[in-house]
Amino acid sequence: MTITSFAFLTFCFLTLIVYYIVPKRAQWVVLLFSSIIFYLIISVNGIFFVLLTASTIYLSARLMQSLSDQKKLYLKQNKQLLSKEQKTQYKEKIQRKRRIILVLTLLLNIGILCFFKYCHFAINSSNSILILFGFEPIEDNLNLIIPLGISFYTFQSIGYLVDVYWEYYSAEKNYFKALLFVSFFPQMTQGPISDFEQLSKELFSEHSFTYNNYSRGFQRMLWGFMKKMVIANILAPWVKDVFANYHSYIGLTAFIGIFMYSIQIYADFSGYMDIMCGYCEMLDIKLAENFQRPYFSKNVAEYWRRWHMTMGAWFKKYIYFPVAMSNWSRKLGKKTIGFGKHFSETFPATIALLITWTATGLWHGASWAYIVWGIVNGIFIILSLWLEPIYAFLREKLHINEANSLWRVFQVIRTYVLVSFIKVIPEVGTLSQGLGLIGRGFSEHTITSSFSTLFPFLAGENLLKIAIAIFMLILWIILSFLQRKKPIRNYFAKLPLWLRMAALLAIFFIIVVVGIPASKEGAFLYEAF
Amino acid sequence: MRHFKKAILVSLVFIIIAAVISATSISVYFNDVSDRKIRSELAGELDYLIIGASHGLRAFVPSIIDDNLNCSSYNLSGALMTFKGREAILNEELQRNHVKNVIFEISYNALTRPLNEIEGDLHVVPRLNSAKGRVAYFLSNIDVFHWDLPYSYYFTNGTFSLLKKILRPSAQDTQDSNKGYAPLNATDLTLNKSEIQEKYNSNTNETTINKENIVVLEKMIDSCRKAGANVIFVVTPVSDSCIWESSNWDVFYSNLKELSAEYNVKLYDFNLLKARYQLFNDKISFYDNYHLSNDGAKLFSQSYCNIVKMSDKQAIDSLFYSSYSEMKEDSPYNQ
Repeated sequence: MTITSFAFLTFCFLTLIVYYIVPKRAQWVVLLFSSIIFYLIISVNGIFFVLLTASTIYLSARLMQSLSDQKKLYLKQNKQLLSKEQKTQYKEKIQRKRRIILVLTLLLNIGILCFFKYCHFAINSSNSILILFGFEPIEDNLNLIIPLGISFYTFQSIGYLVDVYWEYYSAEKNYFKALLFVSFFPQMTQGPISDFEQLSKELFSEHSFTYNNYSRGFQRMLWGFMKKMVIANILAPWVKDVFANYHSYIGLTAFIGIFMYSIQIYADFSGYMDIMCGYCEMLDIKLAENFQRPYFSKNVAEYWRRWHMTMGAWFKKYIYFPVAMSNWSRKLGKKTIGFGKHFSETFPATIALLITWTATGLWHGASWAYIVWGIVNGIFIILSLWLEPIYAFLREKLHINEANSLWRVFQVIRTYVLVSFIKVIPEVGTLSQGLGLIGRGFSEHTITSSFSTLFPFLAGENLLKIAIAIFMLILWIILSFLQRKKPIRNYFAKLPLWLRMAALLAIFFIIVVVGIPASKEGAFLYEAF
Repeated sequence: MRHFKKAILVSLVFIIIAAVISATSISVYFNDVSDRKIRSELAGELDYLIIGASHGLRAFVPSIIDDNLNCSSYNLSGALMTFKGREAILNEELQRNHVKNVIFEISYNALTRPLNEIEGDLHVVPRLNSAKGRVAYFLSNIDVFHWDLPYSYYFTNGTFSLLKKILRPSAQDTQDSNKGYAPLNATDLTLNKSEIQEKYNSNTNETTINKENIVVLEKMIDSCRKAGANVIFVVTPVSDSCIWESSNWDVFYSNLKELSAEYNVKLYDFNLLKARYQLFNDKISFYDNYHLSNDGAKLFSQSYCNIVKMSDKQAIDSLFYSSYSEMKEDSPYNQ
């Protein structure tokens, strides 16, 4: 049952009906049942790991919470009796116990994730070294199937557990509510990675059916299906062909393939988000947004604040800030103050960024190509930090007005080109293949007037499909521009009903004519995570 | 409640408008399926039918069969046609024609394929004569969770038909004057020296017969016999390179011989025709490894007619190789 299938739509529709029929206090129970059924349909074996994660984080959070409560009660009761030292010692003792619980649970869950995701990578990498030194390679007979969505729900659960450890909020007392938080099906396979405090308010509060939510949710779902099925799935086979055979194409075609991929993955991932956010809107549930027009970013750092925002927020909160704000990082900053204020501030941040981006690369994929991809992203962000004083100096000297539209356009195009090239590094296959694709564009300088050489995918019946995909892409870009001023749905809501109906029917039939045949092969790109 | 009523009302309006547009488009397409119209016009006249999948669709030229065997034939074959599809279309024609002979085109994978194949089934639906028959076939053969592809296919084709009618109202509909036969151009499939070595017995055909197909095959044979029609199994020629590549053609042939003996049906495997290397060659006789080109189809149809005429007068076993292994020894790739 794929997300773009008729079966999934039926499943969502039935869940929606039952959700609004049952008493409001039981709505979250309907979501829980639906989530379990959804996962069982897609991956029967994987449900065990979902339950394991949910159970371990629930128990650990409850244990940590009870220790916190015990600490507060004890200190309150003995406020006058204990000295300051005794109170500190007691707090440290409790904190040590809480830390042990946290670490053990993290080790278990991250261990499961690493086992499924990185086992083959670890074996292959070890074998490369073993072979280099003349040893026998390790046999890899494990046929591991990565449980669906494990990267997403594991990280989401870790976030919850760490927040409870940091005492941001209390642990959830109801096991089934904790299970729903982990397994909520609209975000199970590709996120967003939600914060417990925000999501629990949405999941466990009572919801009334409103026409506004229903219609806006439906509109957003339809738009998401269009992006995924019409734009992403039409581009997919040609991107795949260019990536697989880049050495037989001229450089310009290789470049076109790179930019087609950046459009494809954005349409694919944001399309998924629109489908799920739209569906949740119909349920009167607000999911965290993951995209904010990322290709309009002016630099790489801004790009990563607009692309896959919940993942970026997760890494920032749970890896970057703990590393950057740690004692050793502060000490490092103090020790390097002799090199200047800029150096002492930037150097610890550099270390934290390198660690964060290496982890980000690893999260995305178990290969050296992904690690390099992560590090390259990190390097560009680090460089912008280090070079900021120089950039500021140059802008002043060259009288560059940052508010100038042309300058902004230059920044946007520059960033788009840069992130598109970085994106393909892990997507072609191995690291050398990824670099080979990029290199092809710069080494194969044949200029051709032959349309079929430049655009090999534009042939016969493909021309119509690609024309429709490009038309919808242009429409999307225009709507994204308009979206900067005001949400496009507000414009849309003001149109007469017949015009809105006509627009939605047009999108529906475009999906039917072009999207459905194109979707017979295309699974979502981020599902593999 | 007010919100709920509004949502239902607006949803219903959307669904109804979408349904009306879809029904218009789909009915235009269904109406345009010329094969059905032509068969209806010929109802009562046909006495020689060919039923198979794409191998048959591209191989049997009814005009040649009509001229040589003094009959009125029709090629009912369709691309990816499943056995259920073959049964449905064949039964319709058996009911309205006095059929004397039915060729069952059986390719190397006809019996090993799944009983249901969406793409094959969706081509069958518009070819069925009655709306009731179309609905019944659709509902019984296409899983509800796969309705999206047939819907997309029919709607798209219908939209294009409608646009053609609007933009070019004077354009003539494409008539299938070949009585079901669909010709293809030729492609040079000749193997070069290194390919001959590389590809020899480099793969195998699937040989596990799907028993569900046998059940339907039996029903089809039964229907033919009840209608007084004689059944003939025919294997149409595939390219020399195709035979050269696969190592287990004899398993397929042996399975087919068993079946033909069990059902007391004549079997002609034209891959094993001794004259095949004179009649067909990889340069001009095939469109791809499995389908004859127009030139190849004409030669094949003529050969078929010759063999049928000869078989009435004499034994023809000596005109065929006894096995694929024997045949491969005479292959031009073995020279």
